[in-house]
Amino acid sequence: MIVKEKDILFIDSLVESAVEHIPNFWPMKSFIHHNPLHGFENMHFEEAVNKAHTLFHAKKSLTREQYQRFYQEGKIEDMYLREELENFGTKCGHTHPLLENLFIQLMTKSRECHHFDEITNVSPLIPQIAKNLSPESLNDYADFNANLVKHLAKEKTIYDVVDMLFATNVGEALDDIMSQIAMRFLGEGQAIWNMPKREKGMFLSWKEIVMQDKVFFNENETLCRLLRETALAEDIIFMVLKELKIPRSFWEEYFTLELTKLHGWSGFLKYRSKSSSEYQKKYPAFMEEFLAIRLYYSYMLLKKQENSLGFFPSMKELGSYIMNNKEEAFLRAEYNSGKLLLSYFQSVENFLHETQKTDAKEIYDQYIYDKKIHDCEVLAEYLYKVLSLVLKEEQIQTLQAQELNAINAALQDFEDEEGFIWLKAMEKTSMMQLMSDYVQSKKTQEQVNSSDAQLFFCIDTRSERIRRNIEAAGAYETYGMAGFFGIPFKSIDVSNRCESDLCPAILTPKHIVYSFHEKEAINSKGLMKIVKKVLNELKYNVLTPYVTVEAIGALFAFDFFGKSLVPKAYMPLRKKIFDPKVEEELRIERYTEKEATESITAIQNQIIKFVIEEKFNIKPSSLDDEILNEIREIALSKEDIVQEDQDGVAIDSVTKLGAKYNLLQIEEQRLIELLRKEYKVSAGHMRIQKAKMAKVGFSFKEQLYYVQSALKTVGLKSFCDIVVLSAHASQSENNPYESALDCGACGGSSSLINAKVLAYMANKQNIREELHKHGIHIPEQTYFIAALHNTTSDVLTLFDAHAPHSHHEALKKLKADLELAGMLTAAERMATLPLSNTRSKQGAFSLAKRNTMDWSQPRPEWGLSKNHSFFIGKRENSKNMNLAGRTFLHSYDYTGDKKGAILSVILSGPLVVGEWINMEHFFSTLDNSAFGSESKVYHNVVGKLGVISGNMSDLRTGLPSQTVNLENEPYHEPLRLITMIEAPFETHKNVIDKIHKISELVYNEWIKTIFIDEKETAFFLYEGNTQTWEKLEFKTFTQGENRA
Amino acid sequence: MLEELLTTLAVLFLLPIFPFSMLSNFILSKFKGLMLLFVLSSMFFTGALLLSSYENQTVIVAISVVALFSTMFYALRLLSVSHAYSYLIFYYSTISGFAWLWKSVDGEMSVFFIAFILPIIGFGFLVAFLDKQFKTTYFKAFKGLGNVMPRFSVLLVISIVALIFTPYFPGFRIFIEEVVKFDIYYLIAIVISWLLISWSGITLIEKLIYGVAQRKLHYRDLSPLQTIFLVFLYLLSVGIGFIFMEVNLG
Amino acid sequence: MRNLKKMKKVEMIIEGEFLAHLTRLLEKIEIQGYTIFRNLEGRGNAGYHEGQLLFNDEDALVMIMTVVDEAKAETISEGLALFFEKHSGVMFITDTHMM
Repeated sequence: MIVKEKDILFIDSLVESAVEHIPNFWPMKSFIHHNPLHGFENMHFEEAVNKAHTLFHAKKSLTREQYQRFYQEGKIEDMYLREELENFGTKCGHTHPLLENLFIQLMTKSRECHHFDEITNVSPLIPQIAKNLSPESLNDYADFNANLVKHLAKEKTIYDVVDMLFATNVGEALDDIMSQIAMRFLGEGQAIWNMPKREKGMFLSWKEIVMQDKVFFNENETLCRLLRETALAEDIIFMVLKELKIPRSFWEEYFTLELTKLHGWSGFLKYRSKSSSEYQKKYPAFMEEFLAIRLYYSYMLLKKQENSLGFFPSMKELGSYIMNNKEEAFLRAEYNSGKLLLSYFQSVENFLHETQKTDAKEIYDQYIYDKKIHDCEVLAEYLYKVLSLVLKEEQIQTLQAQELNAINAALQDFEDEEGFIWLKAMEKTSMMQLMSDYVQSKKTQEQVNSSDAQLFFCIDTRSERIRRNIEAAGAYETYGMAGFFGIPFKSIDVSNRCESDLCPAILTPKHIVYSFHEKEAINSKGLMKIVKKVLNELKYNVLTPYVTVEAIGALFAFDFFGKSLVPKAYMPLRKKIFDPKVEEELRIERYTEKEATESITAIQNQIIKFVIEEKFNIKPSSLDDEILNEIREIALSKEDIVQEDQDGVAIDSVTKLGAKYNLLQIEEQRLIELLRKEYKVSAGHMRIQKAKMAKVGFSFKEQLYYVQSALKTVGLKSFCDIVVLSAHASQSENNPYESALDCGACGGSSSLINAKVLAYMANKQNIREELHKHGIHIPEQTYFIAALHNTTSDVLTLFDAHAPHSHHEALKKLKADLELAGMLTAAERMATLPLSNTRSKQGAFSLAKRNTMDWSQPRPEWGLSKNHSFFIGKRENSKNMNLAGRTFLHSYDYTGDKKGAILSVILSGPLVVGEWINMEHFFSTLDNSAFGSESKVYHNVVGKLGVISGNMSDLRTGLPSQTVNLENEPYHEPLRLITMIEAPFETHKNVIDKIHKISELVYNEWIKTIFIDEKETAFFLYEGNTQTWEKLEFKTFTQGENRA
Repeated sequence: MLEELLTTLAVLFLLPIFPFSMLSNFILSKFKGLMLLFVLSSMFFTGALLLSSYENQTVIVAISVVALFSTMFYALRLLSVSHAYSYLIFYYSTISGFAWLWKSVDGEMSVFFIAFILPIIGFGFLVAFLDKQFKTTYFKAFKGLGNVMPRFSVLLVISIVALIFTPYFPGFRIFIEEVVKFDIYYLIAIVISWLLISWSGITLIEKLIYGVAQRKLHYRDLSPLQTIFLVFLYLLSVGIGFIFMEVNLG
Repeated sequence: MRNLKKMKKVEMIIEGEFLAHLTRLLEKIEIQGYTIFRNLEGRGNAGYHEGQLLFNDEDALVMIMTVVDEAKAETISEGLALFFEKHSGVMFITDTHMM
């Protein structure tokens, strides 16, 4: 070991700090929408976007043409655009009278008015403009080399600069190698042949492999010798940085540069290194190990360049090369980056291939001269085009040099800010529209006498449509709350052996709920099980493609044609055969000691059956309870089986099992050891299992607490006979992003189990009695039912198998109304999907159902695209607003929350989830290459955790192009979440200040916040420009006129 | 005797074989645009004409050994060219080697000429178009033309496909014939050349068409007339290719 | 107090999301024992932190306490200086005795 202990801490802290700007990436089976700029939330939104532009090479905004389209569609109002331009002018100190008109024309009326790299000589005025340009406005290439050295290891890695100067491919090769290593090690169960020895951890298992790699392991290198000796990743990091001569003060930035190159894999590793998943426990991987491996390869790749470069490109050597070969370095950079003047390609190439470099200076001087002229002319032409938007030829001719340069300076600042100007104007337009709609909606409120049923939905934007349609279908009240219904728990499906956390990603659940699926009749299951097993084995065997394609291919072809040509007919049939529906049973109550012991015993017997079958090929059905119990008891005791007779010879078979099947004692002993060690059938483990089972379910107090919280959060005071708790889930085929369409509040899963749990608890008599004492009076005839809203087909299914008979009629009516509402919702949605224009509502409904089964459909539904607002308040007030499925709706009644405790729960939980979803869509639309995952067509699933594009790339994060774009143009409108909080401003504003996270989001403008103060009959908007809250009275909206 | 020597030398320069190709290529590199295409086509035509009436079989067999190496050499050279003109010129040198091999198995030179002149004209035309617009054909100057010049890109891809004698373009028939008639060593060398040419063609497409255009230039696409001309040219090539495949070329 | 050894007590208050990271670091430099306090509430430079955030674990505060010898304490304070510069939180090192 060459590093000191304190350096280990130092390096690890640096690594932790270096990745703080890279967002976590959760495995896709529970896709978590998150803000890709989550690590920047402690700074203002605009600052963060600028930083991301530098760090991730991401775009800062949509293009002007894309905004012009929104403008023409009326989504951005002229008035607000001018307002934002005024703010910009004041902020940057540009006050020339021409400017406002100029910018408006440029933004709204110009086409293709950009700063091109080519002159077309459209006007004789251009040379005159060129002459008047001041030298400060043009690039002076004199300090290129000094700047490059300054940026070395601060903004560019060493190999970035080497690639730029010498046209090598080190960066690309390095990314390829690291992607492969990440895929191999981090894979979570997709590969059939896995990387060996992963249990040793990422660094050590990699070390074993690379030491046998003749290309990348060379005994002559000090680094390689160190690698052989050490087990510490920090040693390698330390050594490489030493060899590359990078000083300590640069380390942190260098780590950031390295780790953001593959920010997908880094993001996943960031999540995985902190997760408690099985894979991380078995195959631990940490960020500093990944960095060490990356630095190792970067060093070895750079070393390979030593011969062709003539020197080893350490930071020092490379720096002196750049400074001592000024002209050559500059020309090389221009040539390889594709910025070279077109006419110089031949001469520069000849120069670079010659052996003598004597005329570098000559070419350089001539080039700089020509380039500066080119820059000047190009800028002049651009300025001419811009000016001719508002000035006539004669006016341009008479423009003074000073004025011209002032306009140019303003234009340059404008280019940086243009995106934000558009964004803020668009947000203002939407905000004004929402506020106006709210005021109108409040005015047209009708009195509701009594309702037939109350329905709870998730805050998800898709609920908005169906809630509206249900309310229109009959006397129904709807409420919104976070999809997990306030009950966070881990759901373990015992029959299928899988688990998921049904709560927001920011929580670690402390409760566990088991779910069981009924066993089917042995016969039918047996045959299907065999068929499935055979088909699976065929699919995953290496030799199958060579041998059986002709023979069995036809079977799969049948499946293929069925799924593709007639999905609606074929898929239900297929599901019936392979995944038949089974009744699900949940364990929600705590286990008593007796029950726990019984359950564990039953499971242990099952395990013993399984092991005996595996080991001795004995059919489980022939093992009776007596045999099993005996084996189990021996395993649970501390005794061993081996008994010898007087002659020291082992007697055969001690147990009934052994006697029945003629086993040797040694075999029995091995069985017991196997059960104890591998399958955890031992006393110690049983104690742990009992303790774990004690965590399963909810105690009475806990149940009371959760029911009370749920009802209080939405402010429900009176109850109908039927209360429906509607979960939601999506359904699609062949979609790695399926869980992105499920409930975000449940970590990307369906929230049905949460609904069932809450319904069960709320229906309990003893719970209701206790609630009565707390002031919540649930009538006896009220019955809570769980339901599932399929957001792809808009089918709402009630789980009312155990509903009382008295409710039968009401339920029948409800179901009919729900079907109608679903159909209307589907019709609304289908109108927005391409190729889905059907005239009839039935047709739309049918098409929606088809989308759930069509494996060729890359866009089964739009999901949460076009989300733009979050409404926290009473449903009566937002009922008449047609929010077109764009709003998160959370029910809230401030009259029952004087201290703001409930509001703080809503803001710190559901709002944060909403913000993550909004920002995910925002940035995936803004730059689908940097923040999104581009087209689904090229996606390949890797390691069962995510997708890559093509056959090798960084892990793709964010949303695919099909989710946010329509035919390559943005469908989702990137707007920050407009959060409307219906509560008195004076009393409830401090809720924001008390919660660190929320105040960050509000004051750094990650969300646009509006308080709706009914008492003051005014809105209070947080205005970032002035950093104050502005008051806007309701009455400004009542005459249909906007703020003057 | 002298006449024969002169003719041989002439053909060696017109259908250039290494080392004579060095002079031919040097001369060709002085031309640009449609002029280059014209000069090249004339050289090809004249060379083919002269070679078709050439009688001396021993000389041809001797030269074809050198031609084989020349072909492989230039095919390899194609991988590292940096601009489209040199691609065209070295491509011509490559297939000149094939011409000699074709002759050595008694192939009809007219067939060979027709098979290869059409793709060369198509490609040369596109290269000239590029040069006229941007004053350069260096690959490093371009990237992502596929997005900004769709017609040009599609036709460029087709032209490359034609150049690397993909099936149903006429060159393929020639290639197959040659492959069949030679013994194993020639066969391997010819196949290697084919692989190298194909690889170089794909690399060219990748360099020019794939990606996102970085430089903000005024990308003007082919005019409808130019497009029709090229489409017609390639349809004609494919038609001829079909005929070649069906008819016995003797 | 004869059977008591002079040691240093190191207490670190940090945001919940960094708990796993710091405990792993302590284990890396062979510190085997530490105690964790959860759901802290308080005020610091970064603002007010509420104690139990119902639906949010990451932003809550925790404290790690461990007792080590002087040399180790110095290693920790030097090695983690950067961490505490970058993230909100504090570290206290006090003299103590351990049995």
